[in-house]
Amino acid sequence: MRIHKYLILPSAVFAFLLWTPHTLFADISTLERIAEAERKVSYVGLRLKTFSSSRGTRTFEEVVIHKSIDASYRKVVSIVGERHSSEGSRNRDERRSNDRERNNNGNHRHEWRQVRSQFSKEEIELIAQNYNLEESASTEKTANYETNILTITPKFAGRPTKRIFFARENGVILRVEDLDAEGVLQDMFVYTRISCNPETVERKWNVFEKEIKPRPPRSASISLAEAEKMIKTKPIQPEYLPPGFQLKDVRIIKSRENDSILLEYTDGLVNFTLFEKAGKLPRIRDRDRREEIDVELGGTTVYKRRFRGTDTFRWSGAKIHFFLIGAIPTAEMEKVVASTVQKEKRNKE
Amino acid sequence: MSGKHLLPRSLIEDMNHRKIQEELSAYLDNELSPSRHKQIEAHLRSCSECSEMLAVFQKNRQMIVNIARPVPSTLKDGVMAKIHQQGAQPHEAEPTRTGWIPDIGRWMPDLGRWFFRPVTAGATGILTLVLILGALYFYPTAPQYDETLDLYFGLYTEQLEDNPLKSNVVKPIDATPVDGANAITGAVDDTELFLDLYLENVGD
Repeated sequence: MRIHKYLILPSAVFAFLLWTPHTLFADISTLERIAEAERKVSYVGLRLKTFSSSRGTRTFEEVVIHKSIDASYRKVVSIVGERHSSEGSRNRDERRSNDRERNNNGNHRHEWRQVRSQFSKEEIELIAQNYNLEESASTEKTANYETNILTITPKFAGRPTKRIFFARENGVILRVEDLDAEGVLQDMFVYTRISCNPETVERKWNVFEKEIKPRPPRSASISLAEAEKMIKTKPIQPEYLPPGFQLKDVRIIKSRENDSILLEYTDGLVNFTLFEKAGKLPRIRDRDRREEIDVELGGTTVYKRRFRGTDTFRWSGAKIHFFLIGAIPTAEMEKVVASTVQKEKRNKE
Repeated sequence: MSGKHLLPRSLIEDMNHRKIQEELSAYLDNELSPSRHKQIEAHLRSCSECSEMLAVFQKNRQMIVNIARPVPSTLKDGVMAKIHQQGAQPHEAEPTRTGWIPDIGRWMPDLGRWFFRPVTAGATGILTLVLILGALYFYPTAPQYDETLDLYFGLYTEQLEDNPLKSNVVKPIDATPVDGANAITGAVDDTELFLDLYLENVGD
């Protein structure tokens, strides 16, 4: 009888260990391996990148040099394809905005841009918590490398799926596919040529380094207390967060109008960002207003707009103007807005 | 002759005496007729009382003349010259209510000399430059909503676009093409087809 009691606990622990790797920790080791490769392996290569938006699809070729996690840069070398969607050319105002963005991109097209792919431990754990991870072997080679596929599928409805093809031998990411909530492929990149030889990387780095002019980051992390000083009132955080989301970062925006902060929320894979601005509301022109839809959320009029394929919301409280941008389902965004409005009203009282 | 005078001689002389005394002032001013002037003159030679009265009159008159001194001729001439000068000058405008404004015109020559000193001119130039640059820097140009949204959207996406472990896609996009030759018929739902799509852009 006594022996039986002693057996119960180890059996339970053993059963738990058998169960957990398939749910909580399934293939998190693969994610960790990929993150480790990003930190340790240097590479230089050419990749094709395609992304879709409301305006259509654009494909371009980029050269990427990754010397270390802090010295990683990319540069567009050519635009290889651009197709406009009907939604993208729907109205004159949207076209004007698209043209401006295209011109901006054109100005920076041949500039090196820093790649800030920080694979933090916290975010890897969040992905493992909110998404199912599954590793499988791929039958095809990418840039002459044998690959495995890590498929990240959501546990919650309305979230995207990601497929990461990585080199079997060293864990370097060679191809990434982003599928929307309905399983439709939207964005992807794939290396057509890549070298992980340190000597080749060093030789190329010596050539590219002369052209690289790192731009200062436009934002910097701060604490909530510092953010309060910045906007002269306590930052309002939404009371409702979609399942699995948490506050990842609070940052100050470095601009001439240095009175904005942003609160970044993530479930590991998907982000939404709440901007809080003190002072004057930016001047809103008639054509901007035409793009907006008025919705009543939490007893306040909120202006909703589809901007470059992403939902944006803006509204004003007693002291702060709020802007919310994110790629989460609209219904979830509206719940976040309503809870922020209510929170701000309660704080005022 | 004496029969012609009905009044006693003393009375007649007394009346004549009084009348002459009344006329002494006119006598002094030569305002009487010559015959009357001679009559009074003759009387004064014989009448000591009237002669004394005349002497008193003359004395008083001299005192009055001494008290009322005439204006010196130099002063008079000066005043008259000034009056003539003003009369010759053109008529000046009536003073108005803005008459209190300082007469800047009088200062202009001095101001000009001061302004064109090298030190003053240099300092003024530098001050002007500082003011212009300050105005350009601090001019409260309220950003437009489009620009703010651009900035915010850029900040939102910069955390996603270069991170292979992030995703910014949620909804399917209607990718109906505008160019028939390169038509994408609906959203691409197959990975290999999608890959072919952009590989075809690369060509050979």
